[in-house]
Amino acid sequence: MNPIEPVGLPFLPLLFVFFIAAASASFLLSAWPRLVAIVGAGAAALLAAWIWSLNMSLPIWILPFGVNVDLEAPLALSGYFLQLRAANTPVLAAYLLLAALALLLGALHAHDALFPAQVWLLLTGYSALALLVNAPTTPIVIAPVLFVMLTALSIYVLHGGRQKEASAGLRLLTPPVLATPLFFAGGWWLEQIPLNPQDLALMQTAGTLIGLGILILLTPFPLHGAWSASSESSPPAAALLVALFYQLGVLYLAAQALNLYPFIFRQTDWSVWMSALGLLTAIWGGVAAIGATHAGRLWGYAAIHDWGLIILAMTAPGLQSWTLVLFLFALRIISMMTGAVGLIALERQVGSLEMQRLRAVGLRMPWSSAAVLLGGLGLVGFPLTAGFAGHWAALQSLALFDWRLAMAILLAAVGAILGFVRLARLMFGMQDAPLTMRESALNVGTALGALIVTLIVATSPQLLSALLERILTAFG
Amino acid sequence: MASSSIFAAVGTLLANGPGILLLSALVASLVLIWDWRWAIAGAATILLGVSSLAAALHEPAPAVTAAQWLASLVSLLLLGLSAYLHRPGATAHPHGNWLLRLLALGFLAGAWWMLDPGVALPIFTRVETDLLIWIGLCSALLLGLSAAPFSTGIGLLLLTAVAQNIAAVLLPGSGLAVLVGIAQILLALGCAYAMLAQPVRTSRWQTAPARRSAQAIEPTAAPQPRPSRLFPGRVIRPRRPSGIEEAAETLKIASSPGAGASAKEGV
Repeated sequence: MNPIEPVGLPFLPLLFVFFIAAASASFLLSAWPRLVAIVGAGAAALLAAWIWSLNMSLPIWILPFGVNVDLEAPLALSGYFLQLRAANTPVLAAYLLLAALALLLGALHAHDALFPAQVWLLLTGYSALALLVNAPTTPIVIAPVLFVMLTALSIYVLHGGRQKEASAGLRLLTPPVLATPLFFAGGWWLEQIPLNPQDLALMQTAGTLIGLGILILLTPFPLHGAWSASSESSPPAAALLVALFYQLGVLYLAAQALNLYPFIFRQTDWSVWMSALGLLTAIWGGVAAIGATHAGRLWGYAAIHDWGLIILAMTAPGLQSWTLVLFLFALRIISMMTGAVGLIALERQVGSLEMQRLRAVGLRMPWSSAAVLLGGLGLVGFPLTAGFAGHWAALQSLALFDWRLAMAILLAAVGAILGFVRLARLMFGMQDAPLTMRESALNVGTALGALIVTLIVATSPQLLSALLERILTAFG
Repeated sequence: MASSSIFAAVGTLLANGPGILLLSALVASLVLIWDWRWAIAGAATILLGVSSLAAALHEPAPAVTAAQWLASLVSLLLLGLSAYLHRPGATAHPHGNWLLRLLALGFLAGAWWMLDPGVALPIFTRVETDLLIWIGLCSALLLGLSAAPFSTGIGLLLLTAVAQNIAAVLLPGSGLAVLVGIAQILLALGCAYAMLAQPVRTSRWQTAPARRSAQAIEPTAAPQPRPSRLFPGRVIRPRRPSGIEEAAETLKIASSPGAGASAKEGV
């Protein structure tokens, strides 16, 4: 830790006080959810841009009136140290950006007055997870407990005050709870390695336990059920926020673990298991999407297919590349956002996302319907969508290693595409009784904005390279 | 050390063959006896028993065991209160009857006995490790048998108890056992919320006997309006018969002897 006293005001306590104040204010002003969400989104986006632009080689921020802010001053709580470093700055900015996008989606359809406060609370927790740099034991071992806490908080977000069961959120708790004892036992073996560095058995045991823990946290098939269930039963904005926060957290944890303890990869069969389960996840996402009867669930299965490919890109021998993983994840954010914009508008107008109730809705709400289709197809790498470049790059690399794996993923993607074709036929098919609903100007504007972003990224994916290079510093 | 000796004294009672067997049987009974009161009482005994056992055998700091007890009691109180206030969330039936659950338990125990993968936790004795693994397996079975928030909560609490024990013994001084305790309370809060948020369902089998008995009294009479269950002062009007029901009624009248005669007269 930095033994020097902070020069001026420490930054991190200010940041967390701001988060808590924003959550409290959002709760107190919950009578105006739309206004609160828009103001919150603006604040989070500005903070994200500022943190992204920070130059951590100059850790003192000089304000007017002679007040300085020490950006690197650690925040210590009972031996646990949180610190802003060059490595975790992009991750914090990414969390803030995701929170801003979720708040904007929440403003589109104020499904739950408490949603903005919940977003700020989740943001506080995930920021603490990203900023944890030192603890009485290695921070990697502590992370699953924090995941348990944060997924427990996600139950309220996913329920969204609806008159429905909240079992999707509960199912999300199972993977971190299962992974926690593995990380703890692995942590004990990690502590033994310095006492006997020549003993390979110690490394193998620690690597196996922590690798298995990360594998469970990544929720591959068959632990994926919570994601598809939450896509159906929860508001799309809530499902998007919880999924992306959790998955970014797990990816960052995996990157930290692999950088700190490379033997997890080298001296165990971790990569083989992981890539096999990633492949199964991608295949299952595509196959299950064929029979989906709910637009939200279809979106969820497409996201599972995409997540399987990300797991594969992270672990498959011959393919392992954090650049590709981050590229796929960035495209995933854009595709999921576009899909969510459309789903929110359709759900608001129709009252449900059951496919039978979406019959002919595309004729009255073409922009929102197009956003659902383009966003969903982006998640399976359909040409001219945001996800195409990433999926194509991953498939090409995978085909060099083994063409049969690439073909299996391609066939699964075709399955998901068939699901979206079925949805498109329903949405743009004729109906005897004319529909009376209309697409509001706000819905047209947001759907159009999302579609433009999707098309720009689809045609010029190189625009993301500067962002990816910066985030890559956090993932090694 | 006074408080340590209290926990250790409780643990010493269980730190023998019958004590371990009692805890193991209690865990299995949570799967077999599907009753929320039994589940709360059993889970409390298991959670407190396992932490006391660790206190007796490994002597962690008394504050850690006290935190474990506190977190367990608060979590179970939360689950118990919400189950008491909202029974439908707690009384959901499992997927399968007691025989199937018994078979599943038997299969689990048999598979563990036959395969015996030799999992050994450092510092823990073999018997302790087996008890923790048995708790983990039964919790996983509990999670698999029902998606109801109550049983999910009990299953997850038992799983976190395993993690908490490992943290208290293998990583002392890290404060992880206390962190797991906080996670347990948050988890129980989430499950309690899910239980209270669960909509009340009225199964058609619940309403069927009333309808059948009304028909038995006066089979040919027109359906009478029945009083509302929630607001007895209000009366629920019988619904309009559907097209299929109307057609069935017409066929019934046409096939009756009197109707046949009138039809002939018409011809």
